[in-house]
Amino acid sequence: MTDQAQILPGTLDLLILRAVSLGPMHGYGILLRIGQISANALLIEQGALYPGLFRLVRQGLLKASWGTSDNNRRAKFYELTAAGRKRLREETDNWNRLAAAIACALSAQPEEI
Amino acid sequence: MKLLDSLRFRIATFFQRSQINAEMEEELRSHIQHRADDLERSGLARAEAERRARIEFGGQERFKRGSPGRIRRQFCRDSDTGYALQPARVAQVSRIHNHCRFDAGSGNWRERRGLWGIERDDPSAAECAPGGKPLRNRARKRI
Repeated sequence: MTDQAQILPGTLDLLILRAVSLGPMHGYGILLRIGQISANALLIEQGALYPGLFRLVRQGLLKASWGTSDNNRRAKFYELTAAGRKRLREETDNWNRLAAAIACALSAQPEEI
Repeated sequence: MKLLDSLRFRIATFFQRSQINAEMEEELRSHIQHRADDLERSGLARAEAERRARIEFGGQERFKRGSPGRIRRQFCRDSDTGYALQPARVAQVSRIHNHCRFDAGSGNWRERRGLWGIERDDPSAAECAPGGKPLRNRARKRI
Protein backbone atom coordinates (compact mmCIF):
# COMPACT_ATOMS: atom_id res chain seq x y z
CA MET A 1 0.00 0.00 0.00
CA THR A 2 1.47 3.30 -1.04
CA ASP A 3 1.05 6.64 0.73
CA GLN A 4 1.16 8.45 -2.56
CA ALA A 5 -2.13 9.62 -3.94
CA GLN A 6 -3.51 9.02 -7.39
CA ILE A 7 -3.97 12.37 -9.04
CA LEU A 8 -6.54 13.32 -11.62
CA PRO A 9 -5.20 14.15 -15.06
CA GLY A 10 -4.89 17.85 -15.70
CA THR A 11 -3.81 18.87 -12.22
CA LEU A 12 -0.10 19.21 -12.96
CA ASP A 13 -0.55 22.77 -14.22
CA LEU A 14 -2.44 23.75 -11.09
CA LEU A 15 0.26 22.31 -8.85
CA ILE A 16 3.04 24.01 -10.79
CA LEU A 17 1.24 27.34 -10.69
CA ARG A 18 0.65 26.98 -6.96
CA ALA A 19 4.27 26.01 -6.27
CA VAL A 20 5.59 28.95 -8.29
CA SER A 21 3.10 31.33 -6.66
CA LEU A 22 4.98 30.81 -3.38
CA GLY A 23 8.05 32.42 -4.91
CA PRO A 24 10.20 32.23 -8.05
CA MET A 25 11.84 28.82 -8.32
CA HIS A 26 13.84 26.68 -10.72
CA GLY A 27 12.59 23.37 -12.09
CA TYR A 28 14.18 21.10 -9.51
CA GLY A 29 13.01 23.42 -6.74
CA ILE A 30 9.46 23.29 -8.07
CA LEU A 31 9.58 19.52 -7.93
CA LEU A 32 10.73 19.61 -4.31
CA ARG A 33 8.22 22.29 -3.42
CA ILE A 34 5.30 20.29 -4.77
CA GLY A 35 6.46 17.36 -2.68
CA GLN A 36 6.78 19.63 0.33
CA ILE A 37 3.39 21.33 0.05
CA SER A 38 1.63 18.01 -0.57
CA ALA A 39 3.33 16.38 2.45
CA ASN A 40 5.17 14.12 -0.03
CA ALA A 41 1.89 12.60 -1.15
CA LEU A 42 2.37 13.66 -4.76
CA LEU A 43 5.21 12.51 -6.92
CA ILE A 44 5.92 14.08 -10.28
CA GLU A 45 8.04 12.19 -12.72
CA GLN A 46 11.12 14.38 -13.12
CA GLY A 47 11.23 14.27 -16.88
CA ALA A 48 7.57 15.26 -17.17
CA LEU A 49 7.86 18.52 -15.25
CA TYR A 50 9.66 20.43 -17.98
CA PRO A 51 7.14 19.95 -20.77
CA GLY A 52 4.55 21.28 -18.32
CA LEU A 53 6.69 24.31 -17.50
CA PHE A 54 7.38 24.95 -21.16
CA ARG A 55 3.67 24.81 -21.94
CA LEU A 56 2.81 27.25 -19.14
CA VAL A 57 5.47 29.66 -20.38
CA ARG A 58 4.08 29.37 -23.87
CA GLN A 59 0.60 30.18 -22.56
CA GLY A 60 1.99 33.27 -20.87
CA LEU A 61 1.14 32.00 -17.39
CA LEU A 62 4.77 31.76 -16.29
CA LYS A 63 7.85 33.71 -17.28
CA ALA A 64 11.33 32.33 -17.11
CA SER A 65 14.70 33.94 -16.59
CA TRP A 66 18.18 32.62 -15.88
CA GLY A 67 19.66 33.15 -12.47
CA THR A 68 21.84 31.53 -9.81
CA SER A 69 20.46 29.02 -7.36
CA ASP A 70 21.29 28.55 -3.67
CA ASN A 71 23.74 25.88 -4.78
CA ASN A 72 25.51 28.54 -6.81
CA ARG A 73 24.47 26.90 -10.03
CA ARG A 74 23.02 28.55 -13.08
CA ALA A 75 19.33 27.71 -13.32
CA LYS A 76 16.20 28.88 -15.07
CA PHE A 77 13.81 30.48 -12.61
CA TYR A 78 10.08 30.58 -13.16
CA GLU A 79 7.64 33.12 -11.80
CA LEU A 80 3.94 33.79 -12.20
CA THR A 81 2.70 36.40 -14.62
CA ALA A 82 -0.49 38.38 -14.01
CA ALA A 83 -2.31 35.94 -16.29
CA GLY A 84 -0.83 33.06 -14.29
CA ARG A 85 -2.12 34.52 -11.03
CA LYS A 86 -5.56 34.94 -12.53
CA ARG A 87 -5.55 31.37 -13.88
CA LEU A 88 -4.42 30.03 -10.52
CA ARG A 89 -7.32 31.78 -8.77
CA GLU A 90 -9.81 30.41 -11.29
CA GLU A 91 -8.43 26.89 -11.17
CA THR A 92 -8.31 26.92 -7.38
CA ASP A 93 -11.97 27.99 -7.22
CA ASN A 94 -12.91 25.26 -9.69
CA TRP A 95 -11.00 22.67 -7.76
CA ASN A 96 -12.53 23.68 -4.44
CA ARG A 97 -16.03 23.53 -5.90
CA LEU A 98 -15.34 20.10 -7.35
CA ALA A 99 -13.78 18.79 -4.13
CA ALA A 100 -16.71 20.09 -2.08
CA ALA A 101 -19.20 18.48 -4.44
CA ILE A 102 -17.41 15.12 -4.37
CA ALA A 103 -17.10 15.26 -0.58
CA CYS A 104 -20.80 16.06 -0.31
CA ALA A 105 -21.70 13.17 -2.60
CA LEU A 106 -19.50 10.70 -0.76
CA SER A 107 -20.89 11.63 2.64
CA ALA A 108 -24.53 11.37 1.60
CA GLN A 109 -26.67 9.09 3.79
CA PRO A 110 -29.68 7.02 2.66
CA GLU A 111 -32.03 9.02 4.86
CA GLU A 112 -31.00 12.24 3.11
CA ILE A 113 -32.25 11.00 -0.23
CA MET B 1 -5.69 37.20 -28.92
CA LYS B 2 -4.82 33.83 -27.46
CA LEU B 3 -4.46 32.41 -30.97
CA LEU B 4 -2.27 35.34 -31.97
CA ASP B 5 -0.04 34.82 -28.93
CA SER B 6 0.24 31.12 -29.69
CA LEU B 7 1.10 31.84 -33.33
CA ARG B 8 3.69 34.41 -32.30
CA PHE B 9 5.22 31.92 -29.87
CA ARG B 10 5.36 29.19 -32.50
CA ILE B 11 7.03 31.47 -35.02
CA ALA B 12 9.58 32.64 -32.46
CA THR B 13 10.20 29.02 -31.46
CA PHE B 14 10.74 28.03 -35.08
CA PHE B 15 13.35 30.71 -35.70
CA GLN B 16 15.13 30.22 -32.39
CA ARG B 17 15.33 26.44 -32.47
CA SER B 18 19.02 26.08 -31.78
CA GLN B 19 18.92 28.57 -28.91
CA ILE B 20 15.87 26.87 -27.40
CA ASN B 21 17.45 23.45 -27.72
CA ALA B 22 20.63 24.71 -26.05
CA GLU B 23 18.58 26.23 -23.22
CA MET B 24 16.66 22.99 -22.73
CA GLU B 25 19.86 21.03 -22.57
CA GLU B 26 21.31 23.45 -20.05
CA GLU B 27 18.16 23.42 -17.93
CA LEU B 28 18.03 19.63 -17.80
CA ARG B 29 21.74 19.52 -16.98
CA SER B 30 21.13 22.02 -14.21
CA HIS B 31 18.30 19.88 -12.83
CA ILE B 32 20.56 16.83 -12.69
CA GLN B 33 23.32 18.82 -11.03
CA HIS B 34 20.93 20.07 -8.35
CA ARG B 35 19.68 16.55 -7.71
CA ALA B 36 23.27 15.30 -7.59
CA ASP B 37 24.08 18.03 -5.05
CA ASP B 38 21.27 16.75 -2.82
CA LEU B 39 22.39 13.15 -3.18
CA GLU B 40 25.98 14.16 -2.42
CA ARG B 41 24.81 15.91 0.75
CA SER B 42 23.12 12.69 1.75
CA GLY B 43 26.51 10.98 1.73
CA LEU B 44 27.10 9.68 -1.80
CA ALA B 45 30.36 10.29 -3.65
CA ARG B 46 30.02 12.95 -6.34
CA ALA B 47 30.41 10.54 -9.25
CA GLU B 48 27.86 8.15 -7.82
CA ALA B 49 25.49 11.01 -7.00
CA GLU B 50 25.64 12.26 -10.59
CA ARG B 51 25.14 8.77 -11.96
CA ARG B 52 22.13 8.20 -9.77
CA ALA B 53 20.67 11.61 -10.59
CA ARG B 54 20.91 10.83 -14.29
CA ILE B 55 19.22 7.48 -13.79
CA GLU B 56 16.45 9.02 -11.71
CA PHE B 57 15.79 11.66 -14.28
CA GLY B 58 15.72 9.17 -17.09
CA GLY B 59 13.89 11.51 -19.37
CA GLN B 60 17.02 13.44 -20.30
CA GLU B 61 18.62 10.31 -21.65
CA ARG B 62 15.52 9.80 -23.74
CA PHE B 63 15.70 13.40 -24.89
CA LYS B 64 19.35 12.96 -25.83
CA ARG B 65 18.61 9.89 -27.89
CA GLY B 66 16.29 11.93 -30.05
CA SER B 67 17.21 14.53 -32.61
CA PRO B 68 17.09 18.21 -31.62
CA GLY B 69 13.88 18.45 -33.60
CA ARG B 70 12.37 15.61 -31.64
CA ILE B 71 13.39 17.19 -28.36
CA ARG B 72 11.68 20.38 -29.38
CA ARG B 73 8.52 18.57 -30.48
CA GLN B 74 8.35 16.76 -27.18
CA PHE B 75 8.56 20.02 -25.30
CA CYS B 76 6.12 21.78 -27.58
CA ARG B 77 3.53 19.06 -27.38
CA ASP B 78 0.17 20.14 -26.10
CA SER B 79 -0.81 16.87 -24.52
CA ASP B 80 -2.03 16.75 -20.98
CA THR B 81 0.85 16.02 -18.66
CA GLY B 82 -1.47 15.32 -15.78
CA TYR B 83 -0.77 11.63 -16.02
CA ALA B 84 2.80 12.46 -15.11
CA LEU B 85 1.51 12.78 -11.60
CA GLN B 86 1.47 9.17 -10.66
CA PRO B 87 3.12 7.08 -8.03
CA ALA B 88 6.42 5.85 -9.37
CA ARG B 89 5.13 2.31 -9.58
CA VAL B 90 2.44 3.29 -12.04
CA ALA B 91 4.76 5.55 -13.98
CA GLN B 92 7.19 2.68 -14.53
CA VAL B 93 4.46 0.45 -15.89
CA SER B 94 3.19 3.21 -18.10
CA ARG B 95 6.56 3.78 -19.69
CA ILE B 96 6.40 0.32 -21.11
CA HIS B 97 2.99 0.84 -22.60
CA ASN B 98 3.26 4.25 -24.11
CA HIS B 99 4.99 3.46 -27.34
CA CYS B 100 1.96 3.12 -29.52
CA ARG B 101 -1.34 4.72 -30.30
CA PHE B 102 -4.20 3.72 -32.52
CA ASP B 103 -4.69 5.90 -35.58
CA ALA B 104 -8.42 5.74 -36.28
CA GLY B 105 -7.91 7.45 -39.63
CA SER B 106 -5.73 4.77 -41.13
CA GLY B 107 -6.74 1.92 -38.85
CA ASN B 108 -3.11 1.30 -37.94
CA TRP B 109 -1.12 1.24 -34.76
CA ARG B 110 1.55 3.89 -34.77
CA GLU B 111 4.48 4.82 -32.63
CA ARG B 112 3.52 7.24 -29.90
CA ARG B 113 5.93 10.16 -29.99
CA GLY B 114 5.13 11.81 -26.68
CA LEU B 115 6.81 10.74 -23.50
CA TRP B 116 3.75 11.07 -21.40
CA GLY B 117 0.93 9.77 -23.54
CA ILE B 118 -0.01 6.99 -21.23
CA GLU B 119 -2.41 4.20 -22.05
CA ARG B 120 -2.76 2.56 -18.69
CA ASP B 121 -4.79 -0.61 -18.38
CA ASP B 122 -5.16 -0.77 -22.12
CA PRO B 123 -4.88 -4.44 -23.00
CA SER B 124 -4.20 -3.63 -26.63
CA ALA B 125 -0.99 -1.88 -25.56
CA ALA B 126 0.45 -5.32 -24.98
CA GLU B 127 0.51 -5.75 -28.73
CA CYS B 128 2.85 -2.82 -29.14
CA ALA B 129 6.51 -3.48 -29.64
CA PRO B 130 8.58 -1.97 -26.83
CA GLY B 131 11.22 -0.93 -29.36
CA GLY B 132 9.04 2.00 -30.34
CA LYS B 133 9.03 1.11 -34.04
CA PRO B 134 5.91 1.89 -36.05
CA LEU B 135 3.69 -1.15 -36.14
CA ARG B 136 1.94 -0.29 -39.37
CA ASN B 137 2.75 -3.61 -40.96
CA ARG B 138 2.87 -5.70 -37.84
CA ALA B 139 -0.41 -5.22 -36.07
CA ARG B 140 -3.72 -3.98 -37.31
CA LYS B 141 -6.78 -3.47 -35.27
CA ARG B 142 -10.25 -2.17 -36.02
CA ILE B 143 -12.31 -0.33 -33.49
